Amino acid sequence: MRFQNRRASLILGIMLALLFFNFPKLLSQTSKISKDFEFERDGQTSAFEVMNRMVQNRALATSLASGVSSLNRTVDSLMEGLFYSLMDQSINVRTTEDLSLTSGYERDVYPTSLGSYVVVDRFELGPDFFKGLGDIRGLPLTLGNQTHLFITNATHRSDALRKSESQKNPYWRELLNNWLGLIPLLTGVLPPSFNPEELYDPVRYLETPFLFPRDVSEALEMPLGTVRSYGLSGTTQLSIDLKGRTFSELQDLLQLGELNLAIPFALFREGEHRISILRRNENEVWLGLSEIRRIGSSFTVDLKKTYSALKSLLTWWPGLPVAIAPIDFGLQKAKNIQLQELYSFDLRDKSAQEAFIRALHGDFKLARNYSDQRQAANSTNPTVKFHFRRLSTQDQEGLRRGRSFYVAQNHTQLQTTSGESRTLDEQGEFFTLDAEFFLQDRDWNVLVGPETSEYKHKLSIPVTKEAENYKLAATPENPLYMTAALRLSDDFVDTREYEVLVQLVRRYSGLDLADLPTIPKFAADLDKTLRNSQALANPMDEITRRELTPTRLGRLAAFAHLYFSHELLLAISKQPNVQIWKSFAESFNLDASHWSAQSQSPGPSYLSNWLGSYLMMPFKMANIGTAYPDLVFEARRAQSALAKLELATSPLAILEAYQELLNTSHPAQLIESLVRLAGDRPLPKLVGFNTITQSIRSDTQDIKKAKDSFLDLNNRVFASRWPIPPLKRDQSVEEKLASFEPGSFRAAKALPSLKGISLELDQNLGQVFDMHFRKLIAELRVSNPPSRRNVLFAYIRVEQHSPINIGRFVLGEELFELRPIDETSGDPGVPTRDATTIYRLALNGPEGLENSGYFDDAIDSQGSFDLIISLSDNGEQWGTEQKLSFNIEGASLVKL
Amino acid sequence: MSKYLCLSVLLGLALFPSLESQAGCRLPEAAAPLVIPLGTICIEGSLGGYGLGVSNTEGRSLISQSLAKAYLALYGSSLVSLHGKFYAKDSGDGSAWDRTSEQAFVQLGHPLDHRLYGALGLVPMPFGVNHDLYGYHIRSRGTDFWGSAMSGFRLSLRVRDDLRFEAGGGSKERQVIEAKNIERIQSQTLAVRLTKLTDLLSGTKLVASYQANSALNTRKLGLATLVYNELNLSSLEWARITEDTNHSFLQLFRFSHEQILDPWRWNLVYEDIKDDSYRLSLGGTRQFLETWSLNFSLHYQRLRRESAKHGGYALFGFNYGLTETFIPGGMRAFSE
Repeated sequence: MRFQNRRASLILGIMLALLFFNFPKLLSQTSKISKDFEFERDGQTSAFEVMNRMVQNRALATSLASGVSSLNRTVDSLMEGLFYSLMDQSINVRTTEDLSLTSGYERDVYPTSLGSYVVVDRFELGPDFFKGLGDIRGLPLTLGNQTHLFITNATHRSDALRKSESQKNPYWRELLNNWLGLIPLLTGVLPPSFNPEELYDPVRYLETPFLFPRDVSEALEMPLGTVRSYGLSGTTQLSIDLKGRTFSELQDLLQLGELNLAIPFALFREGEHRISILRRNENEVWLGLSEIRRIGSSFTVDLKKTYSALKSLLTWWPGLPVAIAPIDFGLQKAKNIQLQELYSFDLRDKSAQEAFIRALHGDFKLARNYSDQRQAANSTNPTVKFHFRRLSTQDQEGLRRGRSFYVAQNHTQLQTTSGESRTLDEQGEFFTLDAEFFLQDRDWNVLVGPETSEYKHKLSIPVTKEAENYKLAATPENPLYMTAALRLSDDFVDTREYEVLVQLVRRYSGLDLADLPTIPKFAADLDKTLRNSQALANPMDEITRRELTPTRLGRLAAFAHLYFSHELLLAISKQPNVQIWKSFAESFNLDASHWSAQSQSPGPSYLSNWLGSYLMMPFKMANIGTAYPDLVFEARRAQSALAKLELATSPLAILEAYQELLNTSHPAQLIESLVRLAGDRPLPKLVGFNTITQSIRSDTQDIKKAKDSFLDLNNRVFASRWPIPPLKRDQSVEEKLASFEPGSFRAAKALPSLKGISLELDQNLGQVFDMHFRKLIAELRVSNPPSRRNVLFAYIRVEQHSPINIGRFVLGEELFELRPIDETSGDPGVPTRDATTIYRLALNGPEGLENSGYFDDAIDSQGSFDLIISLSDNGEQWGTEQKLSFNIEGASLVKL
Repeated sequence: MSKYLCLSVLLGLALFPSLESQAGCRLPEAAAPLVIPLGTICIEGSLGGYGLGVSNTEGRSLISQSLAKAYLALYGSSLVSLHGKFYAKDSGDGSAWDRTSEQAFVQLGHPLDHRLYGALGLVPMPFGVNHDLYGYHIRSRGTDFWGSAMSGFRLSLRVRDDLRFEAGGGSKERQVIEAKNIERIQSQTLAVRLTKLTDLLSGTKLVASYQANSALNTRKLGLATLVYNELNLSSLEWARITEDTNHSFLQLFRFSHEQILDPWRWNLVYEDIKDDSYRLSLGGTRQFLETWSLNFSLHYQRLRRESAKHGGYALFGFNYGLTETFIPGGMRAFSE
């Protein structure tokens, strides 16, 4: 007994000794990781802002400006047919044979930057008039008129905003917003092409006609960055269908009898009057007036048919409309006259309130008076501020070609514009001559959604106008340069597409982008697993075998922006034709030496392809491209344009030369050739990438590595060694107009930005009995913190690979209101925006994420997590989401 | 009701194979090029049954059925192997088990390794996808479209990494009605199938196939899509049969989707039965222990042409699945 007691004492002693030596370790064991988000250079008016300014979402901008949906909605896709059409409803009450009253709702969703969308709801009401006027040589002639009153509401949507709303909204509203749980279910089950924003919040959608503010208090209740408009739009057109007997016979000959062919030619006149409001910040509202008149003609070729699928499913259901359109081609030529006027109102001031109410009703007299008075008095902080009034007269040519096979669509829109703008801003009146090229290619399919590439090449020549004569007014402060911008956006990028997209950006910009990650095309471990599991499978079941495909990475957006000075293009134009042809041949991946020789002494291949370029034009309707004839056509055109540019001295001659240069159907090859011809001459360039990945449970190690490399690309900016030229006056106007596009809205003050994050896993013995043995603390290093109320809003979401393999598995999300614990200044001599403020918050436990028992349990065991953070200073306007991936292994944190 | 329930539970053995057997035989080390040791054997078998509760305008009834399925393969190497697939079913009415050899062939070459490979023996023709999620082996309209195996050959050629061409030919005895008499004739079949692989999601296959049969001058045309989204598989298939002799045609549209929501595997199937009638079914399988699985499926079918008939049936069952790989040299790889 004694022996036993002695032995027990000894063991107890050893245990106590061990405890004593390890006590500090056991009492508080800490593991820490951190990540910096410093990719964006500190030239903060972010490079992305500069690029976004130049490459706005054109489709949205057009629809906001003119009320015309530029996306072709005549041909519905499967997702639209099945789901989205729920949000496009109209009632047509026929009053007479020719006249009907139409009222309807429509929702369009536009991706702006990664992870966020702009949702535009539109309500309209008005008469439609269509009357057959008879036949001209057997071809039917129709007169049509549509005049509609419309109200729109455009909002910016993101996960942080949704969470912020869900915390404010009552339960029933959240239930309605999600269609009683249907939206989360569909998001989980349907392929990634399904966008829940198309259906989210039907209540707000139905409220659209009542959302336009009628007084000051309603204007101040608008969420920041929201744009609301009302106005009147009208179209009158006289059209004749040119199908006739010849085309009917051709259609029969090609055995396309089942499809409907229409070849209308129309003369049209359109007009729109629109007043838009944008809430800029807490007290300031911008109000814009836009008047558009267009007159022109259009020619369209449509070959399509709508079938009814699954109509036998339910007796009362007419079936699912399935539209097949092999040819959807349109040409439009128009003269545009556009007036735009912009004011801002500080609504704390009584007189500004009065002027604002009048302007809301279309009377701008008071606003003009007030702004003139304040300007005359040299007021530094006017409560009614006049920004600009711009009158543009433009000639516009548009080309649309596409095809739709219901589960896959492809559309190209090309638009060239040239004209004159007269702008009055705070500094006085100025003139510009403008030439612009815009091309949008959009591929969509039901499995992975849209893939869009947009090119915008623009020139504005500063001029003075005296007695209808233009004189060049370019100065070093207001230089003459051409901008070329490319925007790529793909919701579903795999490693093969990644290579193609990166290569396109590389060739377009001429930057070697050596730092870009190289991602192996296939995941080696998945290849091995698939071979292991399928090597002994029945060869007769081979058709259902899963094949190894390039690794799926996530979503990617890329921007490239180039500034060609006039002097640079003059230098290019002086280069010999051989060089020009060589450069174009290289851009088309064709034999450079052959084609440069052909340019000197044209041979049969030159002549036959030159002729071929004209013969192949009808095939362009069906999106059929040809390499050799296209090269000859493009190189000849560029050669001629550059020759004209070399000789041009007057602004109109310069404009004409640029117009010819820009009018291309191969914008990527054109810019690549010009970049190559520029050689080492100064050519400022800026390239940027945004990426988002989504981890899933079945990801192998190699797939995870590939996704991590892809994620490293997020927010990366690459620039050439030459500085970006100064912002011209007309670009400042463009930028203000772009603010009416919610996706590119930037508050006057920069948003809080996350510069770095540290995670600390605190293992405290004192809390063992509190059931929260481990505590995960996040420390945020924030620049541009909120200054006034000192409260920082942080949206935090934690995701994990889950046992449920549907979409992302959110362990918890929460909106925190944080106060700083420390403020540190940046290095002396560095601008004050380098100062950061530190915020701390607990992620688990009672002060952590709400309703996240699973997360708390997971922290106490182990697991891999993604921490997603977005910051705001007002809870309404949110910065981009930043992500930190980490693993808890035993008692330590490991950064993934 | 309790009678039906008891019978379902007692007689209910699952019909479709367990997740275990669906995972199939595995080779522990499968490098490229493939090395399959001489004498490697793969056995996949399942024994199950189901209780079928039918409800339609003619009332309610309950049928039980048992089904045993087996797939056996013996490998000489990746160059040559022998394969056989069999099933036996018992309709539960006391009659003898119906035993059928579904496939029996010699395979030359391997799909994972060789550009050109083929099979000789009792083989199904390369037509359509026939993505049958349930595998009930009940005669259905689908049998007319995809047909059963016949004595003949199959050849496959991987034209490019993303394009495969297959051709098959064979003959089979077939019953035809000639002048109100049933006659047995030997019919010859030739089929071709072209499969294009795209990178969409985790791999998408576009399949076009054509088959000509000497009996009744029958021609078949099929178009299908198979989509893998991680482990989930969807298929969309359309097939059309034209009979020149009768100047008639039939067509069928089928959509099927398999979704894994661990621990369940869910199936959703829509299938045309006739021009304006269809069958819709939802099924689920859950594996428990290593070899057992529980399954159910609910079917609704609407037969509008003949009358406004519609009805439904439900299947509940258990299934025992066995999958084993024997590799010479003492290696024995269990499926994972």
